[in-house]
Amino acid sequence: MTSTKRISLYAVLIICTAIMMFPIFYAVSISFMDGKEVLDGQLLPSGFSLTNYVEVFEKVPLLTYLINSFATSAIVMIGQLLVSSLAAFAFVFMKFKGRDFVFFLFISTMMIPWEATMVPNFMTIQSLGWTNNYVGLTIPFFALAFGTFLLRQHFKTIPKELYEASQVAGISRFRFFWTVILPISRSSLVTLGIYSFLTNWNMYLWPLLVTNTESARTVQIGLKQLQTQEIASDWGVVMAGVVIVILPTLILLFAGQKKLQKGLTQGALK
Amino acid sequence: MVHVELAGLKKSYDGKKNVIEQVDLKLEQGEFFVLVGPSGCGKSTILRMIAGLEPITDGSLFVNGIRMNHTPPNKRNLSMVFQNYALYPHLNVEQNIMFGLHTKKISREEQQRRCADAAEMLGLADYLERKPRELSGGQRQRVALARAIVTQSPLCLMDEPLSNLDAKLRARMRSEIRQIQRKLGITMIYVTHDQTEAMTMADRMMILHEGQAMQIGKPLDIYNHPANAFTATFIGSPAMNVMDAGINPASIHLSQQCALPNPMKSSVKEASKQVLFGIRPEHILFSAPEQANAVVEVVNTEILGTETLITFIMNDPKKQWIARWNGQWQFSVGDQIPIRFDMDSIHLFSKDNGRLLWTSNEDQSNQTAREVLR
Repeated sequence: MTSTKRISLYAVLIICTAIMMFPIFYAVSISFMDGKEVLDGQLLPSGFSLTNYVEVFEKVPLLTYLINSFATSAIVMIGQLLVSSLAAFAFVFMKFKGRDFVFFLFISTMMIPWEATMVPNFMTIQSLGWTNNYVGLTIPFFALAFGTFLLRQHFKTIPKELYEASQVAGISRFRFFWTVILPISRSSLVTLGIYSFLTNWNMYLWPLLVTNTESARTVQIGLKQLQTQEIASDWGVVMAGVVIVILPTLILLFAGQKKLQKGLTQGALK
Repeated sequence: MVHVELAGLKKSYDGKKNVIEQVDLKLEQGEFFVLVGPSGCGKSTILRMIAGLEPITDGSLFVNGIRMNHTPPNKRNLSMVFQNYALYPHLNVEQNIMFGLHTKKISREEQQRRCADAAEMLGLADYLERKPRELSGGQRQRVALARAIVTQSPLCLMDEPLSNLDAKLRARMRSEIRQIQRKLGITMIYVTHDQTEAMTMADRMMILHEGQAMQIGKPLDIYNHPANAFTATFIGSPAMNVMDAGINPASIHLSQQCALPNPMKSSVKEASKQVLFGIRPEHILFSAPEQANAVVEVVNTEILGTETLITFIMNDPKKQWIARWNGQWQFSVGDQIPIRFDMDSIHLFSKDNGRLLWTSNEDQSNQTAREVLR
C-alpha cells in the first residue's frame, strides 16, 4: 500500500471513529459536569468531580437495579444457552420423523416480531402471578430461535463419526452432549452467551411491563426514571447513570470481541 | 467357531430399492475379513449395519449365535475405527484412548494399565499428553487404533482406516494392523476400496459391486479363479485384460489376425458367439516370432525397475492391452512385437452376465504349487 493511500484510509477511519465515539465521549464528559456547565454547552468538564455519581445512587436505587439487571441477564443467558444447545443437539444428532419440518417451524418464529407476542405473553405471565420477580423477567426468553439456529449451524460441522464412536463406546447421549459437544463448541457458546446477555441487559419494554416495584426493576428503567423524575433533568446525574450502565456492556464487548466475531461469522466462510 | 454371521442381510433406504442385496457370510473367530469394492458398492453400509449404526432392513445378524439385529451398538461388544479417526479434538491422546472405558465398569487402574499397554504397543507412549491436532496423520491413526484395542472387544470393525495416509505409511500400517490383529486374536472386519490392501491383509475377502456380493474367498483363490469379469478386473494391478472375442467350436477370435484354439470345444453350442476373453498381464508372454499368437503394436511402456508394463494394441486402437514382463524392456512407441498367450491361464466370461464360462482345469494344489515356486 502506498503511503498516500494509507494516510487517506486512516483519515477516513479516524473520522468514522470520532463520529461513532462522540456521543459516548460526550456522555462521559457530561457525567463529570455540574448543571451550569452542561447548559453552557461545554465539551469538557472543568474538573473531575464525582458528585454526579454519588447523587445518582442516592436519587434512584441504582444498585438494586444493577443487581436485578445482572441477575436476569445472567439467568437468561444460562437459560438460553441450555435450551438452545439442547434443541440444536436434537436437531442435528437425533433422528426423528418431521425433524426438518419442526426445525423450520421453530426458525420461522424469528419472523414474528417480539412486540406482536408481547400482549399474550404479558397476560400469561400475569395469570401465572409472575409479575415483579425474576421468573417473569427471564423465563419468556429461554427459547431462542436465533440461538438454536446459530448452534445448529456449528453442530452440523462436527463430524457425525464422533457421535457414532461414542455410541459404539457406550456413552449416553447426554454425556456425549455434555463432555464432547459443549467443549468443542465453546466459541459458538461464548458468542451466543454474550449476545443474549447484552440483549437482555438492554431490554426496556418488557421489564417495564412486568415490574412496577423498585425492588424488581432493571437499570434501563432506572435511567428513564432519572430523566423523568424532575421537570428539569439534571443531565450530569443522568449521564453518570448511563456511564455506569454501559460499563458492563463495554467490558463484555472488549473481552469477547474476538470470539464474538469468530462465532458470528463461523459457517459463513466455509 | 463361527463368530459373526450375516444371513440374507438386506438394506434399503427408501423401501423400494435395495442398496444391499442378500449378503450371506460366516466369519470365523480370529479371522481377518476384508470387504472390498469400488466406492458406492455398499461395503461401509454393511459394516455400519454390523456395528448397529444403521438399521438392518431384512435378514439377520448373529454374533456368537445370538441374533443382534436390534441390539444397540454398545451392547454388541465390538470396537470400531473410523475413516476420519473420530478423535475428540478437545481431549488429549490418553483421554481419547480411555474415552468410554468407564462405561464398561473397568477400574481406574485397569484403564490406565490398558492405555499404557496400547500406547506402548503402538509407539504412542511419548505423545499421551498431546492433543490430536498436534499429531501427524499416522499418529492419529494409531490413537484411533489404540482406542479400539483398549476395549479388548473380540470384534473390531475398520472403515477405510488407511485412506487418509500417504502410500509409504499406508504400507507400514497395513503390516502393523495385521500383526496386532494376529497377536490379540481379534476378529476383524475391514472395509477398503483398495484391492492391494485387500489382497495383502485378508484371510478371506468379499468383493462387492452395487450391493451384491460378487465373490467370497481367499485372496489368491480369487486372484487365480475369479468367478466373473467384475472380480477379474477389480482384483489385480494392473487389471486383467478383458476383451470382446468371437468364439466358434474351433477357435477364439481376438482380432482378424489373431485366433487362438478354443479350449472349451464341446461346450459351445452355437457357432460364432461373443464372449469376454480374459488374461492377466503376466500371462501375456514375449515370444519367438514363429510361436507368436499375434504381432502387436506398442503404444506405451512403463519401466518400473524389476518389471516392465507394456501397453499394446492389436488392431482396434480403443482396446488397449497390458502385459507385464520381468526385467527392463525398452521398446519405442510403434514397435511391432510378437507375443504369445499362456493358454493355461486364460479365462472366458459370458458376455451377457459376466459369469465365468471356462478356465483351465488346473486343480487347486497345482495352482498353489506354482505360486510357491514363483
